Amino acid sequence: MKQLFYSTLIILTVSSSAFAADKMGVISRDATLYAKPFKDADSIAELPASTAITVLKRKGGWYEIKSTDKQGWVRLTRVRLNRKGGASQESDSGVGELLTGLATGRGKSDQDTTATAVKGLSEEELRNAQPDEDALNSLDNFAVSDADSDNSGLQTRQVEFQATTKEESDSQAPATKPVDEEDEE
Amino acid sequence: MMTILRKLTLIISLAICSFSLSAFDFSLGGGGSDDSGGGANIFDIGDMISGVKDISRTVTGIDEEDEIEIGRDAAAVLLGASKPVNDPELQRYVNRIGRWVVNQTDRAHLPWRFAVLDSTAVNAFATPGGNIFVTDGLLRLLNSEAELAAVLAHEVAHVVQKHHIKAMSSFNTSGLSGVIKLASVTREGRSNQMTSKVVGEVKDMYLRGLDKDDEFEADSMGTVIASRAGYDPFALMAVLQTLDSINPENSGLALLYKTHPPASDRLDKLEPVLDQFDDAAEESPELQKRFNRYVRKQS
Repeated sequence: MKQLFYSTLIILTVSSSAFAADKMGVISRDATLYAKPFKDADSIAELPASTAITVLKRKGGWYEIKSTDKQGWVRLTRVRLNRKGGASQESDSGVGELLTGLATGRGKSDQDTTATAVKGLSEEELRNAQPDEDALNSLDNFAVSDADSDNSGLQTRQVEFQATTKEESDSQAPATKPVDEEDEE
Repeated sequence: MMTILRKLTLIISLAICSFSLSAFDFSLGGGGSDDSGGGANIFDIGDMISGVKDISRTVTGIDEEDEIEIGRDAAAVLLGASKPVNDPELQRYVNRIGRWVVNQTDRAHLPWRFAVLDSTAVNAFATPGGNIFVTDGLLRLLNSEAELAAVLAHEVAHVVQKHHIKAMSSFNTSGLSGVIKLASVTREGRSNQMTSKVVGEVKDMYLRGLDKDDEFEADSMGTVIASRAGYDPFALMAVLQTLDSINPENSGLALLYKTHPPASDRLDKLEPVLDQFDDAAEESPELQKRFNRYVRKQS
């Protein structure tokens, strides 16, 4: 019990710091701070580029942020999150190594943790690659036919591609019968 | 060095274990309440075709068969550098999402194949004709199915727009006809070894990368395709923000950055596309559940 308490405590401590670090950022280009996550909401302030901020949460295309004494909403696109692990002293261990913990359940891939961290599809490996026809043919085993495509309740939307001009079109497609194929496991 | 690495890994692992839920929800945004009610709408094909035609820089003049043939050669080369991850459930999951994504384009009829490759590099690749690869290194960076769909949609856009054919043509001394000739060469000799010329040109293309503007176009089209599929339109942007938050000197990003514009440039270019979306799609919690199950291996 006591042990559980301490391990929980440790995890909480680690997680809160990691979490906080993850949410620090800067304003990338001059941005308006709004009272609410809408463009026609009252503007609170103009934040110049490079303003340090803490991101509190996200709602659609908006981040709720805090900057010294101010709090409000800015467009998501005007925020850059800070580099993980500190910009200066990050060791070049390969992203795979850095991220080993991300996919918690999948465990560590079997890469070596020493200097040459990148396994597969580095520039050199690509240069030396011999075409693998068997691997290519093996992809057929997992191909999914149209009928098996999985939407799981996703609602399609009609959105136009944009060339150079910006268009406003985010209309909903007319509702039709759900295509609800059961996927086999 | 080793000790520091190990420690870092441990700390990150620990931290991730405990804060994954909150942090990842955070990056998913919205909160994910489900009001979709399981409905799916049939997309309007006519509308999509006109949508694709809006963008003029399409390569014409290559038969689909030749395109597919070149694409198979290219895929075989990439697979020579990294094998598919041995996880049938994961591979099928990625194919299901990929298929749903390509259905939002006018090239759904191509022989689409999706695969996660066992590489710690952070990258994704497409080949002409519809082979799409995501590295395990990139997959591990993703926080949600919407982000995975967005990465796939970016690659799908390259295929829809035939960006690779364009890139190969611009470096082949005979241009597009030279590329078409490569296709016929391999078609005749598929059972034998691919000619070294084909292999060489394919490698050059992936080492050189595509036209930078085609990368921006794939970001913009990919965002639209994924949002058509019902996913959070901001998901690709979230992926780019993640990339932007990693030290660009990291070896896992070397080939990606050799062949792609910096993430920050891509974010800037994406901003006007995203301006049309105010809200993230309301996504069913089901999506996060299955992402956790197949990708994170959490039940």
